[in-house]
Amino acid sequence: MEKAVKKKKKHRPYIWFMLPGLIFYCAFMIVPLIANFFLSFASWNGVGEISFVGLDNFTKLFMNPDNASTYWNAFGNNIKFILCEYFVVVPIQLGTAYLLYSKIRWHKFFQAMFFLPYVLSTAVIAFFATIFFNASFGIVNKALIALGVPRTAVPGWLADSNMAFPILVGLAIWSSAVIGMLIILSSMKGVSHETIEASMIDGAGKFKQFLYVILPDIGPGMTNVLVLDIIWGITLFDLPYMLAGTFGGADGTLDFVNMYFYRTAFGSGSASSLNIDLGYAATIGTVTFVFILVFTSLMNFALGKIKVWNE
Amino acid sequence: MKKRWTRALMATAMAGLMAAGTILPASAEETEAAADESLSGSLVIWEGTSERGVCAEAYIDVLQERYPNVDFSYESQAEGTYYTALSTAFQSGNGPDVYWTLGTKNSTLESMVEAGNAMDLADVVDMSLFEPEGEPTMVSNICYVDDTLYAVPTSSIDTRTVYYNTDIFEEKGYEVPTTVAEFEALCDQMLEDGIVPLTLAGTDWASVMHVWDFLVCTQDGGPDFFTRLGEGGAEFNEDVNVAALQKLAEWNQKGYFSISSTANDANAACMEFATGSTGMIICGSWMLSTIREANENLNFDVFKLANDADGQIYACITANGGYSINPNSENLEAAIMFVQWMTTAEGQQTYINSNASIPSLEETPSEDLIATEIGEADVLIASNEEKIFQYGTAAEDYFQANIMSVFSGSLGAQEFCDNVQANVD
Repeated sequence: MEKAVKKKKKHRPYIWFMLPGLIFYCAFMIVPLIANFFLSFASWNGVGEISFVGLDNFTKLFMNPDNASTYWNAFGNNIKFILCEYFVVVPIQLGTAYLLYSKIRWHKFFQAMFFLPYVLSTAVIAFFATIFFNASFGIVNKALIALGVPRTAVPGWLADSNMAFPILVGLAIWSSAVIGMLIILSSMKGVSHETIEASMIDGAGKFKQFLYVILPDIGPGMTNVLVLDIIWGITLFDLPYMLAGTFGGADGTLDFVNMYFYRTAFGSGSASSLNIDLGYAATIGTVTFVFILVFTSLMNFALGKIKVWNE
Repeated sequence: MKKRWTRALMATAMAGLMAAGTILPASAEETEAAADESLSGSLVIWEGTSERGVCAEAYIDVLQERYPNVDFSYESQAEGTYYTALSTAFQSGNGPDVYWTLGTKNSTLESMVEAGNAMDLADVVDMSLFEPEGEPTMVSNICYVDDTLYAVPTSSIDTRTVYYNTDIFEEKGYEVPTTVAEFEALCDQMLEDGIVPLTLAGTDWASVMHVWDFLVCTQDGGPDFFTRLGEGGAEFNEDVNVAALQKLAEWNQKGYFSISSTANDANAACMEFATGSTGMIICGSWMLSTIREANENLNFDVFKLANDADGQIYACITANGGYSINPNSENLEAAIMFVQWMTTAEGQQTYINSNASIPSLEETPSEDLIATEIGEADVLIASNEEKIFQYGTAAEDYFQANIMSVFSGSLGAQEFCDNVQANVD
């Protein structure tokens, strides 16, 4: 009996330490997640009663050709963005991290310069982008016109559906690539000096050293970056919203899943419309959550396999 | 003994007060002021968009002097989030005392009534200012749900017009066009002169719709189509409606609209016009104050185009909305005072003057010359906007998501209108 009491007392501090965090986590993460899941089977415009509609919202999302086309266009843009991150942003992050790791001249200055855009808010970045790339009153086109390019022949930039996406990727690289770069850099700094010295004694040059010594050893950091890229890519919202409006531009070039969720949950940006359905929006949220879960699990699994091969 | 003395004192005091009331002529005003002071508490007014904030400020300026013991305040939200914020406030039990909505125009008022968030105003206000013949008018009709009054309207109308830069017109010697053919000739001339004729908010479905509405009014059979559409006797994909939208897309292909039009929101489009980047903009009357704010030195004026068939000027109009009372308000007396004041010519005049609205009542003329000019037309008619909100969620969803693609040229006008019609509930 005494033992049982002692055992109980032994566990008490552990529970109490965890409890505050657990309460907040449950209140702000688990409960909304569960509520969102249940709401995805309901119809509700935020006022009045919530009505249960079964799988209607899922049918509406995937079987209605207009909605399905909007969702898949937005989802396709998310995937395009993730691929751009993998094939454009990650190599840049890797390259700059290695340059800073190699302590090139002025490396501290460059590190500070790389970090600078990250402290700017997305609103400021979108503002700069508009100032530069607005086709009518942007600085770039004003300069082109000043150089003699006819007003009718200047590029559309953000108004051109072929150019808007590359501009978005460029802004994303400029503004937030530094975080992935810092994660990779800190992983590089964790690589054993003995191994590097041994490779140098064996005659490995900088490139071989990077390829065969450093790269295999920064696996955990790279895993984090690649998984975070998926999460960032799927949850992208603020920058395209500010650049292209609620619908992601006239042709949906910059429409992403979270923007579709937003305009379904909060309206399409016009005071004259109350066309909102929180139940349907919750369905978009639930489906997106499942996609993130599947993709990140697959990525973790694939990276785990690579780690095993390396070992 | 004490009681007798007390009674005597009270009688003397009352007699004195009555005598003062008879003798002093100014006491009538003082009585009114005293009555005003009897109203206390607070009154929170929610306005729909940030542009409407000026209305609430103007009301408060007038009413605060009259009711010094009432603590007036207002809130306005970003355009896209107002209704969500409003419903969230009511869900959490913190609904405002008085709130603006577009009434039944977009089904907001029905939702509010259904949720018990709107007070029956039938026995509270006198609607004779808006309904001189005792019947709901175009402006007041959106305040009724199942024939019961739940809101007090703002007596203005929203319409569409062409704003033009008078400096550019004077410098180049352009004549103000009166027909679509003249307008197109003017646009061609502007392009030849290196001037971009028009701009549009191509990322905002409502802005594209407003130009479309404007064009339908100029087409042969357009006004008749709108009338039949309003009565439920027309299909959305009738030729005249499709042709007007097709013309809008063609204008874009011809280069009449600026290159940034497909990426503009309403403010960016106004900015483009206000900074002289384009010669004209076709948009709503409600953008008048935004254009002025964007460039107070801009010299501009407005014009409309006549109908191709009969030469008359038709203007698409929509009602502006109204104020409702939260029945669970703790400041009902002040809220009732406010809506009653809004049924007076003074209240409506304050509204009209505050944001340069287009007046719908003779009793409340606008002080603004351009606003008055915008409101002038031979015939006022309802538009696509009035109808699309009644077509059901599927049609509205499709409409909002795809109309910009027609403007940009990636979707045909006929296909778009056919699909809207196919999605009607």
